[in-house]
Amino acid sequence: MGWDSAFLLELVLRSFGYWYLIVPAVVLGVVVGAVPGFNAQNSLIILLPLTLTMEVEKALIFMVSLYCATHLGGGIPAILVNIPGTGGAAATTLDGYQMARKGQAQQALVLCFTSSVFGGLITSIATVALLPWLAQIGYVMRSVEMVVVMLFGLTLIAVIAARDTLKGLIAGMFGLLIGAIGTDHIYSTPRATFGFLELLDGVPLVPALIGLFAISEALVMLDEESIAAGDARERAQKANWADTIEGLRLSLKGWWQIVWTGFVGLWIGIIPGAGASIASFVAYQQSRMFSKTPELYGTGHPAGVLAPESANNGVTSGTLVPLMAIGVPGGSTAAVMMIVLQYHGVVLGPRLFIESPTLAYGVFVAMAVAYVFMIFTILPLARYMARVTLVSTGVLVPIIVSCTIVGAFADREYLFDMGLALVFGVIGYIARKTNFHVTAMLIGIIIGPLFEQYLVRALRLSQGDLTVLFSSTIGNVLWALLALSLLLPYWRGRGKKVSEEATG
Amino acid sequence: MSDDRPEGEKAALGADLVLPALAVALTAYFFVAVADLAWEAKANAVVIGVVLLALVALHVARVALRVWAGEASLGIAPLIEPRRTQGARLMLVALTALFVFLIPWLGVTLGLFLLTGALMVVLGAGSLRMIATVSATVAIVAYLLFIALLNSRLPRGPVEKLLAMLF
Repeated sequence: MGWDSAFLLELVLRSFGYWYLIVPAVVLGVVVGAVPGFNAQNSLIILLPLTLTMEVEKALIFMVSLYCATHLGGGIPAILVNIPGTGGAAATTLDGYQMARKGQAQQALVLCFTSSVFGGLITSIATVALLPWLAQIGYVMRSVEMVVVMLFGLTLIAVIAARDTLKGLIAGMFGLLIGAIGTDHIYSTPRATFGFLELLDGVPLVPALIGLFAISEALVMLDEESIAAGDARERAQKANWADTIEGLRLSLKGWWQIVWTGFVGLWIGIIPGAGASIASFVAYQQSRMFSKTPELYGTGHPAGVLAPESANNGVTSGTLVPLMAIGVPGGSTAAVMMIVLQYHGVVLGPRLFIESPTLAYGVFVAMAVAYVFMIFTILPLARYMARVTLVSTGVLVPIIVSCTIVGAFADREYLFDMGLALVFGVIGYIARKTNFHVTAMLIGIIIGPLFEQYLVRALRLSQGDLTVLFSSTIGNVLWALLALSLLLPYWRGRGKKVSEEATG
Repeated sequence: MSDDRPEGEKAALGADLVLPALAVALTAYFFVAVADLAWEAKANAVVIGVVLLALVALHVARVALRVWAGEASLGIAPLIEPRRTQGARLMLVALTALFVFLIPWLGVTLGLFLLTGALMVVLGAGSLRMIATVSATVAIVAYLLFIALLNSRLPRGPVEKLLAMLF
């Protein structure tokens, strides 16, 4: 199907007509995204009894609205308390939290909301236009390329997030090894589970996220009176609507940043399994690489919030592309949506666009409409949310610990997971205090199981020959980029040193 | 952080070796655990483990060189300073561990009320009235969300049992 304006206009109007589903889904999604331990996937599972009884179109609109809103919500605690609500918001902590510490939490939240909304909006519109072509990307990424994509993602995180690349790499590889705990994919043999039955399925992500980010941050936070201290506190206390407008101005100034990093997210979202965590870091790194002021990244730079947030919302459209176009869910949330669609007898794949164009294209139009609703719902709240940075740590720390330790239980409903979150909290504290970046470790844990799956598949195809990892052209290009991303900061550093010495 | 120190003071790099030591311990445990398994079950751990050991070796060599040159010591100051908050930090970990241990008997509502309250007392968060208000709010929200709305399998204690009899 080509671009049919009348048909798309009809879809837009139709989606707006479902405002009574979109608004509650957006509100619920923002809350779910902001609370570590909850995510779109487990919320949609909880809500299955509701969505299964809805008409398929309404169910899909409700689910995509909630899904998009969780990606936006994840950035809120990342900025305010340095705890990403979802893995995709981990990169947002790098500059978002630094802005909050400078008393600019309100601007950072506005940057987060606008880049999320416009990144998501632009990519969902682009997806409608490019859907038949985008679906082909999933076909060229095989196990070898996926292994390199993941190592590339991890390397970028180590280079970007950690002040010391070697420490970042150690943290990332440590995370990858933790992610390998549990039974193997071929024979289901338990490995390195410390004798705990609860670890047979691998290390659960939610307790790892809560421990590494929330509990460890709470332990570090005790050194300060409040998140915004000194001059920053004074500045945060004086925050008013002008700060919201300032945030909007900064967003407008970075419009091109939002557009292209959104497309980075879309591109990565299409690759099954890659996900928002990698997309946001790749976008952050690319943004820094092309910036005229790369040294400002990590110190509370607005572009450091725009890039990851736009990318992780670009992923939302991308994840649904393989689901709708070839019937393969691009992520766990898409898999839950697939269950609902299949329950309603919808056959996913290329025929969907011929037999049910209203549904196939309607998903992405509904997504765009949900983003429009989102900006009006959430933007006015930035001013009030920013006040969290003024709360004394004596009150904030107990609330963070109490709420998140229970959140660790929410995913699998094992008491064991609460204890695990505490263990990860202590590991995270050691990592934070010694500059081994917890983000690299978390991303390693997230991609660990998938990395093993692709690595073993590639090795089985080559009968155990490791050189298979260098056998594809796309893979080799990615290897070259990986090497470049490791060497470039070193070269830049040397060049800077030489020029400083030359100028005396 | 390990590098944030006054001018002239040696960097305490002993702290920088704690996490690599944990990584090496896990790698060694992993190698022992997969030693007798089929190659498909151990390939991933071996590939990651070997790379991790190589990176740790580089890191240790870098630390050793700095200590050898007299630029750094093997102290662990970054992990234990500032000392004024160390007691509160240890209490936080101990109280949370106690909560996880006791929650099957206390239930989530009473457990959270006590945990939040105890942590606020330890951190000197303000008046008793404020501590009671914040702790009660956290406990009530958790009860409404996890027990009343989501009907999760979080442990039920005396408060949940009493409320179940009333409603």
